[in-house]
Amino acid sequence: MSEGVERVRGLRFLRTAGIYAVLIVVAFVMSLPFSWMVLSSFKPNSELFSYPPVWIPTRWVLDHYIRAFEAAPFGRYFFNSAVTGISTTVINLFFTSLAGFAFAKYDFPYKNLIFFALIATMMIPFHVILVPLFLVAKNFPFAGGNGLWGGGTGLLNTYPGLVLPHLLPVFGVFLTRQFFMGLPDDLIDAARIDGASEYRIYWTVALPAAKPVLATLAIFSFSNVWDDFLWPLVVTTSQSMRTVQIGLQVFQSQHSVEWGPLMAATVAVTMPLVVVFVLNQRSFVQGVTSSGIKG
Amino acid sequence: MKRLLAVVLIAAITLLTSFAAGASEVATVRVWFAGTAEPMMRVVNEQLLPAFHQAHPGIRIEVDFIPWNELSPKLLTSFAGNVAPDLFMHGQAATAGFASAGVLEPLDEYLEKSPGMLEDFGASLDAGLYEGKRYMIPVYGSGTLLAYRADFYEEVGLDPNNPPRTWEELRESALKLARKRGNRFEREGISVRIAAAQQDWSPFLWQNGGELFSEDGKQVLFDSPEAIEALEFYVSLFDDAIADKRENQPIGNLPVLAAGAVAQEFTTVENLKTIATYAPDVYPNVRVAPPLTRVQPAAWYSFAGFFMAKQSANKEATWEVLQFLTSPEALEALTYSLSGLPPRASLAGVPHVAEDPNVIAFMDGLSAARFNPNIPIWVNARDALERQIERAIRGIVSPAEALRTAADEVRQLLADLGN
Amino acid sequence: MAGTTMYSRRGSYQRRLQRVAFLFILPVLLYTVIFRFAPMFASLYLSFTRYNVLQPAVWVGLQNYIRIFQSDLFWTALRNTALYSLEVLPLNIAISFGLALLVNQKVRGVAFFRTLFYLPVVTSIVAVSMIWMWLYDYNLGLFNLLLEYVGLGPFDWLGDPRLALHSLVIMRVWKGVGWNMVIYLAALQEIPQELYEAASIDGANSWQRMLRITWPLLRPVTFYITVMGIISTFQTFGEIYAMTKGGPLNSTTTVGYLIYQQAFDQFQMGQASATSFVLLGIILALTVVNNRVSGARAEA
Repeated sequence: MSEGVERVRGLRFLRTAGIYAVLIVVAFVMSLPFSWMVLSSFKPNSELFSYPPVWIPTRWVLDHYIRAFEAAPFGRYFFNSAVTGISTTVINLFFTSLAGFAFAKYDFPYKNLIFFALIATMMIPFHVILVPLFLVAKNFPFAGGNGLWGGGTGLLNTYPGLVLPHLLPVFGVFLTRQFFMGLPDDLIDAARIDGASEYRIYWTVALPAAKPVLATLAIFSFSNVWDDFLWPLVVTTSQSMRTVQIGLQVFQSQHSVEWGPLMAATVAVTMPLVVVFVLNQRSFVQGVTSSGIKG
Repeated sequence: MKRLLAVVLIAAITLLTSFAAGASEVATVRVWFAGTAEPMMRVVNEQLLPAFHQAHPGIRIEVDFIPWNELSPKLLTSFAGNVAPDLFMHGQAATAGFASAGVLEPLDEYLEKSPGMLEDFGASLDAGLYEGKRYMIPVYGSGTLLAYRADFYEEVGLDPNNPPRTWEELRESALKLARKRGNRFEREGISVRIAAAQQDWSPFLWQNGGELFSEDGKQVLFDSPEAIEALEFYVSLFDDAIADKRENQPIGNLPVLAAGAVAQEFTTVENLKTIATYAPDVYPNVRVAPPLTRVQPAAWYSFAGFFMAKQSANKEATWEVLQFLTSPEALEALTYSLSGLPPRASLAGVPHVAEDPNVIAFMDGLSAARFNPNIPIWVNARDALERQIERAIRGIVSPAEALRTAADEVRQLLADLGN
Repeated sequence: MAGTTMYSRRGSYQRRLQRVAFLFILPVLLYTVIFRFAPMFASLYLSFTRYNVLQPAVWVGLQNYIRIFQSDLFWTALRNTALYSLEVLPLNIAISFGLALLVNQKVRGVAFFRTLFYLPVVTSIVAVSMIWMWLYDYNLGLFNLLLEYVGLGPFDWLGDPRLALHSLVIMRVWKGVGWNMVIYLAALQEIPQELYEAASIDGANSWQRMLRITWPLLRPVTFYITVMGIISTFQTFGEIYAMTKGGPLNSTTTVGYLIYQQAFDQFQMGQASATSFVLLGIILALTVVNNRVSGARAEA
C-alpha cells in the first residue's frame, strides 16, 4: 500500500519537475530578445555592439533613460496612446461580442454572406486602403468643420480620428463568434423560458461565460492600437496628438539609430502591454476554477 | 426641421470662422521636416522658429516632423486630401515624381530674385532639377566614398596616407588586405553591396565615362560598353581572394568596418558618425579616400531639401520661410544636427565640417559629385538594375546580359508611358 | 444549429429574434460599411486606373491585371508568400497548442511563465529584427557559433537565397506563437471539467483525453487561428521591410511587400490596388477551401 502511494508521489514529482524543466527552457528562448533589450538599455554605448557581445553591462548606466525622456514629450504620447487604446478596447469589447454572439446563436437571412463579407475586409492590405480611408476620415460629415460633403478637416487630428477608422471590429466578431459557438444552447433556452430579453441573455448569460475570450480580445485590441504607427501618423497633424510609437522615431534618423535611448524608450513603451497582459490573464485562471460554462 | 437648422447654423459658423481667419494679418506657413531625429527637432523648435517669428511677426510657421520611412504615405494622403503643407522636405529622388505630377512650384524665379543664393548653393541646386527647372533648395548632403582602416593598411605594408585612386589600385589593395582562414574570410579586402548595389556600382559607371540615362531621361544608357566594363570590374571585387558573395549586414547600424570584418567599404558620413559613437576606439583608424577615377573621378552624392507645393495659398510668405530655413545660419545648425554635409559653399569652413578630416574628405569629394537621375521612372529603373546586378554578382548571368535585361525592362516601361 | 430551432413553428417570434440579431450586428455592420467597404470599393475602382494619387486617375481597363500576370516578380512573390504561409501556419498551430497545454497546467508560478512566453508578442519589431539579425549573422551570430560546436555550418541565414525565407519563418513563428497560445488558453478554459472527469472514469489516459476531447472541442478556435493565419501571413510585410527588403535575389519578396513598393515607392496606386485584389481573391479562395475542409471534418 504505502509503497504504491510513494510511487504515485514520486511520479507526480517527476511530472512536475519535467513540466518545470520544459517551462524554463522555453521561457529562456522566448524571453531572450526582451531581456537583451532591457539589458541593452542599461549599457554604455561602447558595450552595445561589442564583439564578443557583452550580455551583462560592466557598468549600469541610466543615461539612456534620462536622455529618452528628455528627447520627446513621452508623457503626452502615453496619454494619447492610453486614451486611444482604452476607448478602442471598450468599444471593441462591447460591440464585437454583441455581433459575435448574434452570428453564433441566431439565424437570420444572409447570415453567412454577411459574415463572409466582414471577414473579407481583413484580406486587403491596409496600405492600399490608406488613401481612401484618409479621405473618409477627412470628409466625415459634420465633424471638424465639415458639412454633409466635407469642407473642413473632419476627423483629422482628433481622438475620434485616431480611434474610429482603426477599430478592426471584424477581428473581434470572428473571435467571439468562434467562442460563443461552444456555448450550450440549453443555457440560452433556459434563460428565455425564465422570460429574459435577448439583450439580457447576452449580458447576463453569454458575457460572463466568455470572460477568457473577452480578456483575449482586450489584450489584442489594446496592443494593436498601442503598436500602431502608420495610421496615427497619417491622421494627426500636430506633435501634441502623436502616440508612443511615433515617439520612438525620435531616436531614428534616415541612416542611423540612437540605440541606447531607443532601447530604453522601447522598454518603457512596452511595459503597459506587459501590464495589460498580466492583468487580463488572471481571468484564464478563474475560468478553470469556476469551470467556465456549466450546463 | 431642427436638424436642418443645426446644419445651417454649423455651416454659417464655419464660413464665418474661415473668413475671420482670412481677414487676420498673420499668414500661416505649414512646413514638414523629413525625419524625427531629436537634435534636428531641437534646433528647429528652440532656435529657428523663435528667431523667425521674432523677425517676421506677420508670418507664423507651423512645423511637423515626419519619419523618413513614412514620408511617402504621409505626403500622398495629404495631397489627396488637399491638406498638403506649403513646404516639405524630402530627398532629391522625390523631385521627378512630384514635379511631373505638377504639384510642385518651380523655384527658379524666386532664386533669381534672391541675391547670392544661386552662387552659394552652386551645383547642389541641380540635385532638384527636373526638365530644366529647379524644384528643391538643398538642406544637407550625403555621399559615399571609400572608407578604410589605417591600422590594417599598416599591417599589410600599405601606406595609409596614400589610398587607392584607380580601379587597379583598389583591386590590388583589396587583394593585399584580405585575410582568410580555411575557406572563410577573417577579413574581406573590400565589401561592396550585393543587393541595393546601384549606389555602389554607379560611381564605377561614371568613372568609366558611362551614363545611366540620356540627359532628357528618354534613353536608357546603362547597357553601354562602359557600363558593362564597370559591372565586370564590380563583380571582380567578389574574387575568391578578396571577399565572399555575402552581404555584410551592419550590426545595429554599426558598419562591419568597425568590427574589423572588412578592411574597406563604401560608406556615408552618417555611418562614420555611428562608428565614432559606438566604436570610439576604432574611429581614429578609419580614413576616407577621395573619389576613385578612371576616365574621370566620380562619386555618388545625394541631397535632401525643401520643396514648395504648387497649391500653397501664400507663396510670398512661403518663400520668405524657405529663404530663412536655408540661410547660412539655419543650415549651419541643421547640418550639424543631422551630421550632414552643408550645401552652401560658404559653409565649408564651419566647425563640424572642418574639425574632422573625414568630413573634409567628403566635402572635397563634392567636386566629383554625381546624382541619380531625376526621372519619373527612376525607382523602377533602380529596382530593375539592382535585381540584375545581384544576379550578375551571384554568377547567374553575365554582366553584359544582366545590364541588357534590365535596360530592356526599363525601355519597355518607357514605351508604355510614352503612349 | 442555433438555439432557435425549437421555436421555428412560431413565425412571428422567429422574426422578432431575427430583428434582435440584426440589431446586434448593426453597429459593426454600419462601421464596416463606412470605414472598410467604402475604401475597398474605391480601391477596386482604382485598380482599373492609372493613379499616382497626385493626379486624377486615368481609366486603363484591365491593364493593371494583365501586368500582374505578365510579371515574373509577382509569381515569385506569390510563390514565396505561399511557401512562407505553408511553413508558418502548421508550426505556429502545433507549437502554440503545445504551449497552451503546458501553461494550462496547475503548477506554481505558471502565470509568470505565461507572461514570459507572451513577451515576443510585445517586443518591438525593431528590437526583434535587430537581435535576430545578430543571431543570424554569418560571422558573429549565435546560431553559427552553436552549430560550429557540433561541426555544422556556417550558414548564411539571411543572405543565402535558399535559406532566407525559412529563417524569416523561424522568427515569425517565434514571435507569433505567444499570441495563439493565449487564444488556445482562453478556449481551454471553456471546456467543462466534467468531460475530463467522465473520460478519466472510462479509463482514458491523458494523451487519449487530449486527442478525443480537447482537440475536437477546440476545432472552432483552430479554424479561427487558421483563417487569421492565412490572412496575416499572406499579407506579410513588416519583417520583410525591416530585415531583408525582399532579398537576396527576391527570395523573400512577398506579395505584401510588392504592394507596398508599388504604392509608396513607385507611386503606382492603381497597380497596387489591382495586386491587392488578386491577393484578396487568393486568400478568399483559400478561406473557402479551409471552411469546406474543416466543415466536412466536423461533420464526419
